[in-house]
Amino acid sequence: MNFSQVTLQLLQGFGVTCLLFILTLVFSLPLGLLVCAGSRTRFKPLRYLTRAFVWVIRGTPLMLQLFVVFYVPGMVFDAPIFANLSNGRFVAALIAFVINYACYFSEIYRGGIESVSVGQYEASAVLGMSKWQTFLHVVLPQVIKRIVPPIGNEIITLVKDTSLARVIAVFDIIMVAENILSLHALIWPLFYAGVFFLLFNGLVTMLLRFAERKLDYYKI
Amino acid sequence: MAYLEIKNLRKSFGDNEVLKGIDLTLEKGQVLAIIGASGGGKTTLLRCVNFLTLADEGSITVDGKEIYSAAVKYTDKQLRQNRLQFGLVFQSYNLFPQYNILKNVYLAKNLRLGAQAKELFAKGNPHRPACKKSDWLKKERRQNVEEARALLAKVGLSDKEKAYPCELSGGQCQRAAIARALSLSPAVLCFDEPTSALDPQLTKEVLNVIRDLKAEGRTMIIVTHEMSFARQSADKIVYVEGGVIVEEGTAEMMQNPQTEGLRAFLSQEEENETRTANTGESK
Ligand SMILES: Nc1ncnc2c1ncn2[C@@H]1O[C@H](COP(=O)(O)OP(=O)(O)O)[C@@H](O)[C@H]1O
Ligand SMILES: [Mg+2]
Repeated sequence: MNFSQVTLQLLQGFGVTCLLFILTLVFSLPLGLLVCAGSRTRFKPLRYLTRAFVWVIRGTPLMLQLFVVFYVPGMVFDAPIFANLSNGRFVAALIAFVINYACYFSEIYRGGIESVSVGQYEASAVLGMSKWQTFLHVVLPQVIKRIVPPIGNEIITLVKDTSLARVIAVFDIIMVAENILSLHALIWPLFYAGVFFLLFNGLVTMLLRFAERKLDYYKI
Repeated sequence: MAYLEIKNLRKSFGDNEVLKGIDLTLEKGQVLAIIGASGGGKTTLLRCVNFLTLADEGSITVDGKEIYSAAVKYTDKQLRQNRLQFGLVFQSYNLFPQYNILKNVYLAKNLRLGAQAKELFAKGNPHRPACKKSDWLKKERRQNVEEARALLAKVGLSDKEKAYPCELSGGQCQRAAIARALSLSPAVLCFDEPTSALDPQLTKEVLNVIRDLKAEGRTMIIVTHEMSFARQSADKIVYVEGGVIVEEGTAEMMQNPQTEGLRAFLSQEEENETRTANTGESK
């Protein structure tokens, strides 16, 4: 196999990696807000349940969670649900990633919301704002400024974490490179795959820096 | 009946009774100074007046209209409406850091437009304006911005309207906070130690703004440790200790304290003032 053949094959795998990355963000960023609301609710049973769930997800390896999502439904329903679907492995990986990242994001959101001082709420209240107006116009912009750096760190980790999907045989770029290794006895495509991650993360870092600079017009 | 009447205000936090029946009256256009040592319940009193905490007992009346009574159960919306009778300026300013000074001042008023428009343009409202709702909103928003500009001019911040709070001095922040508190035209403006975080020079510029507001005839309540300011500018002074008003009077009361508590407090304050004056000089 020559360089351009390898590149083409890797690109195909990289497409899957990118799709997993983007879909994970699309679903987990909003889902994190929901989890965050759950972990802050005044309804205690739900609050403790949510916090326990977040604790489990953040306290166990993502790789294990991938196995659990992929295999446990099959064990429960006595049929390999995901393995029978045409892109079932991808869906299983996506579900595991979304749940995992939503929990991480929820904690970042929670930290961001709780870091807004009581004085901001009180100033809004005295000015006759409703709770919703206070959240939308006073709290949320400050939260966004505070969470962009830690969310950015998670996003960069996610780019690399996508390679874990390979453990349930999602056909991502790492899997492609491993296939080339076993079929053609070539090791360098595996290392070459790393370059794709590196370039992709470079792009993500640049975008994040841009966002941080955009939000740098004031200090909290 | 006085313009502002506070009757038998009581507030406890658990077993700790912080306000033990406060009675206060204030005439329109008058300035009330509340003095007293820390922990006496002055902040709690202002917070009860502004509904940041709700009093357990008592009532508040402004201009003959009952704004709050502990015996009545209010909805959030009613409280939000009623609290607009009062404005509050905090010791720590609490400006919104993400907005420039101008937007800090007009934001709250703009946010009220949605509900106002809904009411105004409701079907069957005889006073329904002839223009389109979007035009009305545009016009009102523009007017709010102009009013905010006028308020900033009043507190001497015309040249700073585009600045963010983090770019201003403490005195400028506090003056902006005063403009913001005025934006909704409260009947009574309250200040909780507005200059305690400021050095003497900045204190002076904030107190001057408050003096200007008095000259305009604003009704104000000021919790302060600036004894000379209280003496000069307050029409009425109350001394609060242990959740009760121990002494009440005019500037004369400061010359001639009747209670041991006020006497001790005044000499303590005097001592603090000379000490800060001395350290100020030695710098
Ligand atoms: N939210 C609260 N919860 C419990 N205790 C409070 C609360 N707010 C004030 N207190 C208590 O009320 C007392 C009076 O406080 P405060 O009104 O701040 O006095 P001042 O403003 O005169 O210094 C203090 O003993 C304080 O500990
Ligand atoms: Mg206080």
